[in-house]
Amino acid sequence: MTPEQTNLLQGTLDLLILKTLRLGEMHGLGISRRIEQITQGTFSVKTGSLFPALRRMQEEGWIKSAWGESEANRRAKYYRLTKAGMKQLETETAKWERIVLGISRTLEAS
Amino acid sequence: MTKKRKLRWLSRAVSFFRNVTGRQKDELDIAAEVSAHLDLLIEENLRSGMKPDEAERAAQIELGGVEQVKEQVRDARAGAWLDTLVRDCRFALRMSRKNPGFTAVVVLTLALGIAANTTVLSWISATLLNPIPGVAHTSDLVTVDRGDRSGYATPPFSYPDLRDLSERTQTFAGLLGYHDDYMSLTGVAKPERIFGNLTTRIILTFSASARFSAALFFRRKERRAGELQ
Repeated sequence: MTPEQTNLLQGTLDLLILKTLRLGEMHGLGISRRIEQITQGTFSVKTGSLFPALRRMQEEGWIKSAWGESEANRRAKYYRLTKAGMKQLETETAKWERIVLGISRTLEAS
Repeated sequence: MTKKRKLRWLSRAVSFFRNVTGRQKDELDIAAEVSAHLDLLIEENLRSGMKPDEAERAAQIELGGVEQVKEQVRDARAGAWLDTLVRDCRFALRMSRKNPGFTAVVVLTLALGIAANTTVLSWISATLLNPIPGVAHTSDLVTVDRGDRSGYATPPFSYPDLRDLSERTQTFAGLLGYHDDYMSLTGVAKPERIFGNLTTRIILTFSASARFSAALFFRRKERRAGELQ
């Protein structure tokens, strides 16, 4: 862990996964790498957190999965967003924005 | 919002059903996904120029244990609690079979405890919560007295008083007059002294042996009281 790495805030992993899958279908490792890339290494999603989260989100009906071939002709399970997932993304985004706004207002207050 | 919630509930229910019924297939699927993930990690490491055994080791480290990951996924699925419950029950049964002495003590303790509780609670229910048999809401019952507030209100209501009150009341669903007294019960082998209630509609008597004859006697008494006025 580099000093710049931060633990994921409770409940934000779903949001990051939803947002990542907004671009198109992706396998588990792809999602994990994408999050690392976008956050420039601030968040690294461990397999032990990623797969349970994917499982849970699948059961909520936000994402769907299907087996497919990876770039290097390897089998991999691909995840994509469902309609309910899109809506959830909107809800969670709005929620997150409210949190950020609230916290920055608090910090700015003298 | 409600529609969305309904959909989520449905989705969860379907997952729950699938998790409970399609266990084997699900296990295979989880295993396949984790191993595919491991393969992808190894390949990524190989491409970055690691040696094969080094690539595999690094991938293992990043994954953090195939079995652990599988277990974490199992915990995340709907109905995981059912799994745990079944496993706990099996464990409990196994352990109790292993220590029969302890099991006997536990079963006996529980039996005694439950028996004692049931007894006490039914006693409380019968004496404190529902002291009057056949009355649905004991808390709705009130006593109407006249005179000073004591156990023996004086002077008591007369039968015509009771009738007037019954006819004109707007507060009560109904009124019932009673009067308790010691009485002699004759006509059986040996005359018996009983303590009983003269009531206008229902009869309560405290002598088990003479219940039905007492009832007859009081009914007649009520009719006589009606004729008197």
